[in-house]
Amino acid sequence: MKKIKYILITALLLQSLASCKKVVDVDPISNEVSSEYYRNYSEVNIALTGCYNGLQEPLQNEWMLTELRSDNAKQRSVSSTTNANVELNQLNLYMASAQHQQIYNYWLSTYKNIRNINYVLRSLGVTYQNGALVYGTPTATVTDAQKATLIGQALFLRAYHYFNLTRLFGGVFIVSQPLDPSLSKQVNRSSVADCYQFIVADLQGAIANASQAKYTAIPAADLGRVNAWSAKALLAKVYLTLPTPRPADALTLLNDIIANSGYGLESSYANVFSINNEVNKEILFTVRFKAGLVGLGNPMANSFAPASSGDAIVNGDGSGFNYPTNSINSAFRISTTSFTDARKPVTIGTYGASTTPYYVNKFISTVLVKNDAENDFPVIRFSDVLLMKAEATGYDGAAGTSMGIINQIRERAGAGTYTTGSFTTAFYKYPAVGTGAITNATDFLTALLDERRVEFAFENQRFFDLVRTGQALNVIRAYYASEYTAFYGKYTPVIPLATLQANINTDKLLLPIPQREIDTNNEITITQNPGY
Amino acid sequence: MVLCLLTTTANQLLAQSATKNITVTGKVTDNKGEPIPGVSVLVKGTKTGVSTDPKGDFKFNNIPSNATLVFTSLGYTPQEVLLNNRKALIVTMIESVSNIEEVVVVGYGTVKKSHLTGAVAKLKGDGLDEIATSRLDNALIGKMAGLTVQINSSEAGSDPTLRIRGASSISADASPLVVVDGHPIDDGLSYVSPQDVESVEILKDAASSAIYGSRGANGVIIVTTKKGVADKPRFSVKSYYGFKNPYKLQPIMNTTEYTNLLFQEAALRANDPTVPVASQNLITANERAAYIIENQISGTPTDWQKVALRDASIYNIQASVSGGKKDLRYYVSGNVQQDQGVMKYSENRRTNFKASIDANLSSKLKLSVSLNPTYTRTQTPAVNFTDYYRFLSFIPVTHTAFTAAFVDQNAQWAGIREGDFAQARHFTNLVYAGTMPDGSFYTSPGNVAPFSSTNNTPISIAARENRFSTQYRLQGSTDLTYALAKSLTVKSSVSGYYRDVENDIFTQSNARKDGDVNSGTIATAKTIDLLWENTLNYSHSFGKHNFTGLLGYTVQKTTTNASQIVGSNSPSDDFTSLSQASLIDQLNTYTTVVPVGLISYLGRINYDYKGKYLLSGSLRTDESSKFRPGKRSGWFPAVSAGWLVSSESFMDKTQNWLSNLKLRASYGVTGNNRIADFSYLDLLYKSTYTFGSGTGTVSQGQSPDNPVTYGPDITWETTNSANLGLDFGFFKDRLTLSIDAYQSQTDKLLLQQGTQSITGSNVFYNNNGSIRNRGFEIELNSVNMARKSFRWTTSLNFALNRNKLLKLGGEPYQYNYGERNEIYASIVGQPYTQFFGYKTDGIWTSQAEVDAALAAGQTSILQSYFQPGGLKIKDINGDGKINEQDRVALGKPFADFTWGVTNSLKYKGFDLTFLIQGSQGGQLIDGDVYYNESKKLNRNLTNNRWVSAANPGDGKTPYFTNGIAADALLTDYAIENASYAFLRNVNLGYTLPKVFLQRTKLASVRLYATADNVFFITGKSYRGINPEARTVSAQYASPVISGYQRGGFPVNRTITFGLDVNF
Repeated sequence: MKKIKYILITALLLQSLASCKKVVDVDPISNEVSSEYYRNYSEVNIALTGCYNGLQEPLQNEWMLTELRSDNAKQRSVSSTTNANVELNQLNLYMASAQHQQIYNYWLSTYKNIRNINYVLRSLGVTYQNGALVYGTPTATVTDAQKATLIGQALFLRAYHYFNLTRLFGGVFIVSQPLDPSLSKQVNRSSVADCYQFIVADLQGAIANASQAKYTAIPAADLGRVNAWSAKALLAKVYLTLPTPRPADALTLLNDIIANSGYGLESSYANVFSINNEVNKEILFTVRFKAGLVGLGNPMANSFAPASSGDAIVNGDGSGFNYPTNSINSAFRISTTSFTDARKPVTIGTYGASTTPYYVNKFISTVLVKNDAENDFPVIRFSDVLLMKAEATGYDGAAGTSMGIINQIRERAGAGTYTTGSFTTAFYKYPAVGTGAITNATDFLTALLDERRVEFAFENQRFFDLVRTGQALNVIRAYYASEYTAFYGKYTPVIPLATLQANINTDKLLLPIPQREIDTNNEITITQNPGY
Repeated sequence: MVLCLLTTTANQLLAQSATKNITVTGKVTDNKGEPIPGVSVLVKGTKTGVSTDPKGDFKFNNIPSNATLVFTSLGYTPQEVLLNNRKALIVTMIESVSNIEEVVVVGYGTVKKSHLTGAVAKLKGDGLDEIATSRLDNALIGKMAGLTVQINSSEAGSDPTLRIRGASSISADASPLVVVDGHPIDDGLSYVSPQDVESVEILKDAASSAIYGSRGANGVIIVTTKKGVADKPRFSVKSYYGFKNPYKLQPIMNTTEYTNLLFQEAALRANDPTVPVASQNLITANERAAYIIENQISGTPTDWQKVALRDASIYNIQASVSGGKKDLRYYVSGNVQQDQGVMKYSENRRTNFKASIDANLSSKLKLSVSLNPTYTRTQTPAVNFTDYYRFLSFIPVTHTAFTAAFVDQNAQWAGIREGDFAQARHFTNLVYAGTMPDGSFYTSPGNVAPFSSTNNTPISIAARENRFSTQYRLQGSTDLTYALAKSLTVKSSVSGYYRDVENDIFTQSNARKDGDVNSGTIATAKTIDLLWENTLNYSHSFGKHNFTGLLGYTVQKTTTNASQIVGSNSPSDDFTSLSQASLIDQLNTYTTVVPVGLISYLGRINYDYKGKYLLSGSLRTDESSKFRPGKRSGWFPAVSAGWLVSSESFMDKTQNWLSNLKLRASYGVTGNNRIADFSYLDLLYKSTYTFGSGTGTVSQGQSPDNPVTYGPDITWETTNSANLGLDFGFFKDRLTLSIDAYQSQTDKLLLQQGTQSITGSNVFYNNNGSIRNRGFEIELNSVNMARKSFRWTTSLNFALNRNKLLKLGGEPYQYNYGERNEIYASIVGQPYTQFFGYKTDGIWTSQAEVDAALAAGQTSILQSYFQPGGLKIKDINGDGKINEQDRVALGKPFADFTWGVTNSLKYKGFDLTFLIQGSQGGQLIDGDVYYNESKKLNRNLTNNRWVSAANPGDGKTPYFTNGIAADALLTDYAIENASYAFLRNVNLGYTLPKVFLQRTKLASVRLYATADNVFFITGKSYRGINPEARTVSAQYASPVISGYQRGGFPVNRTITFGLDVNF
């Protein structure tokens, strides 16, 4: 009897041991594991969609590093001491240190998406070796056509991020494949030249692989995806931005786009940004947002709407960030009696009766729930392609191609033909001769930059335009002077104008490499940008 | 000390010279008059004995009339009574003070305290249920050496941080394992009613906790709840009611006071020739407008702190009945509690029910069933205390007719009526005119924004945003114990713990901002935790050798099903469901299922020789699903030994003063696996995007978005620890003293190791690091006075712990970052986390001083550094450059030592207990120093501030907008002393004398009053209002990012009145 009992208990125990083993053999139920994904076209395409999603996050900081450091935007309140405002003041005043949180946020979110992209490219066998892309055998099961379309898009997205990083930080860390934390401390900064070599290689790869379909031939479901035209336009901008620009190469690409892409100008400026007309023929590439609480809403409407406006502009109040300067406000020619620049009401709104009533209107649409606006954020528009062509061509006479392009842009914005009157009170196309005619290369550059400024206001282009054309220091210093009495002189403690103007120098045009990135690396020395 | 009381009811007869045998009857009670069943009554020197029945009565036949009877019972001091021909006795037994023969619960069993070889602290139930405390963990404060309980927040129902002997983990959870009646339950201390608790044991050293293997590294807290004893039904009703109020508030200036200060400072500057005329009067139009509103429009300043707070109350009623027969015993209790926080919208309600039955089904088979359902509902305020005191006082809570009419000037606010919540924005964009503090008349140049906060007032947010957490828990267990043989029993226990938590947030329209639509979040998490334990117990003695052995096999499976639904725009604000929400937030609506498993084998052998030489060894192996196959198993051995020196014959001479002396030594290995599940896997997360014409169609997306990169090869942390202990008992154990010294070293530290952000994430999981904790502890218990009517006892505990980071992934240091990017540095060779930043050397008092420094060639990478009135930084390395090379460790969040003293006085029916408890030598970061909006209003931070070169203040306090203080850089200006001493609890009780109760059926009645947090003192540099308050959410949940305080919630002072009735 006793024996049976023992046997029974032992048997029960042994059986339970075997069956309980599965208690620890568990797999995640709610998530895929990367090593078991990226297996076929569908999965890699879904992962690539994740990379598009990753474009959104850096944009929440990009305006701080571009518009706020140009003459387009400033901080609304000099006296606010809240952390967010103090951080933004520092950028606006060129006083940001290497520990600046927003600079770091941009850095981290950009590199995060670069990781996402590198996962996709790894599964497609694409590596970057000795300054060139190498197309190896994909680990995913894809056809050649599928492979090309995936590679083309991914390479563009990577180049887009690196182009921004290089323009903002100078030479950065080139990470072209998923980087193991244990090896990451061996990666140092690359030179600006090496970064551009990488960017150009990626964009050439994108042009070679991505869809060549004309705008009208793009399947409706694929609108918004990268194609060869997006890549050509971005490469043209890279060529114009290189330390040694390659305008001729840019021009070839731009002419190709103008002639063959099917993209073109929208009939009106407002149409370009209308949420009822998204991914229109003027949009070569845009970062898309979507309202309706699907997790893809654009928070810019609430960030940029005037602070303390309640629900007057958007539901849920605004923060009043990216506040338009008097300088940009008056850059638009508005006349009560004659031609006015139709771009102004699209770009800048006014609210309230205060002396500081402006706000960025470009990305505001009705929102039901805070931070959930529909507006896309354009990266490259056809008007940019045209104006880049003017830039690449250079000054070719008051009635030349370049001035023709500028006038084409102005005409779309409502400019009249100049007969008589003042350019400062009404909005005209530049005449070929006489008053207002652009007769030399210097004036042409000014006219081009002014045109780009109003055309692309708050599209994060102005800062890069000024740096690319070598105008940043004198333009921003002059801007500080022009708004000193009304605004900058009111900071406490008082910042003398000379100090303010001295804050911005060649070194400060580059942002600091985040201190955290330098602090964390105890294996190699990372050189900080000069001036920090 | 032992107090014997002997009463005779029979006449004192002369002792007869001849011995004859008599029959003796008697009753044994405790000092409250309660009968004690099961007391063993022996004739001294024989083996003849009886025991008392459930009524405490005994009858002893045929014993010598001059015999001496020995009364023994567990937990009571043995007593000898000389019969002296008496035939009826009433014996009062005194609970043993020394606890030497007390039984201590250890993992998977119990051990006599005298046989203990590890470091275990015990708190008995009556220390818990005589005081009014809402939570069990709060009742442990200051009671046991080596356990620290930090009340991070005074919100009702909030969890404190518990640490046993410091922390041995950096990225994994460093809190102790909590075991309730044998079942490891992580939130066990939050719901068990303190009055249901029989005892709490703390396993401190590895030898004690290694039986819990992979979860024992941070110590174990064992909670044992009450069980029935064979007796007539004994009823007990315990109730209390109390009031709470805030101990101390922030010294915040109202707008008028602040504006006056600004004008005084302007006057001072006007008299200082070094200040240019343009810089004398820095008062802005906004500040002037605010003053005008407060004095001439709203009329009275709003004290936002008072608006936030209320007179709160707490009540608790517990009823229980226990009893049974020899073969069937029961304990049933019910408990209702409501605990309000002093901040509005903070409340915790709890209802407990507990039933346990122990049955002897046969002489060999025993069954225990226990069931403990609880219901908890917690309301949490939607805004924290900081948001209140940063708000400017000129904003009224609600509009008066006058203010409403005033803001109606603005067409946008034309709808504002008297009684509506006032918001800062209502007062913007208007022209203000009025008299200034200096008598001048001021009219604003155009429209101004007196307070440009875009936030609604905190009280209007709190009133419109309801946050409730509803929690159902059910803990149940069934144990079957079968005696296979006399010395061999097998026990199989199945226990389950089910927890259903629903966290609801319902926000009404316009709650935080105008135009906010109503919205709701319903987050639920259902956890089912099943535990199957099988143990084989063996105990055998031959000669003077005593063995006990334990073999066990346990399986634990935990499955958590979580889901969240977020919806917006219901047709009415009244909805507290999302059934009518017009929009569901797709990003934030999800479900997850997380399975976790653990399979363990364990064994233990205890051996003693004559009860003098003690030896114990245990081994556990755990296999956990938290790690990948191949890394799942861990082995956790432990050995310990003890020597009861005082039992040696050579110690006989010292018995009169040294009644007990024991040496203990132990060594063991424990582990820790408490990190996020599936941290060894590279998981992908939802990451959608929209393609296509129009506004696009949402497409599936996936990306490796985890902020912490996975560690494929991570495995257990292992902690090796050694403990040496000495137990003393003096004067028949009237004074007992335990001293423990320990060292533990954690290797293979589970680390969120910092890495380059260029990998896409700035931290990854790694197993590379070592921490050492060393310390010693003293526990002293003394019976200072022991008279028949007066008794005074003192318990004292002291614990000192030092930790040191020995290794960190091969790196010399790692920085971790808080909300203001303040750095918490883990530097090898130093305490495992320290505040890291710049040391200051006062402030720049004048431009001349700045100019001199600049002339001497000093440079700084810190922006706006060279500003008079700003903090001046020490050039630590003396290179003339103020840069990151000058950063040093500024302090540590750990106390040098902690202590607690409990004094207990009993005089006749009165009892008085008070607990003083303290923590010495730690530091904290005062985040308020960087929180500009409130800092300028806080007298503690503006007193004696710099005004101008001729009025430099105390030379240490910077002018608020000047210099790097606004740069959110961590300097020692923000570091404060975190030491404190609290008079934590005073309890005065009165037990009605028996004579009053004789005609009633009541057995005992006790009335008491308790005051909690009666008084506290803090370190001199401390500028806040609650030295214990810490931020513990978000990144501050990490053990290394600790010591940050912002917006310390006021300490609650509680006065409670209670009534305990037993019948």
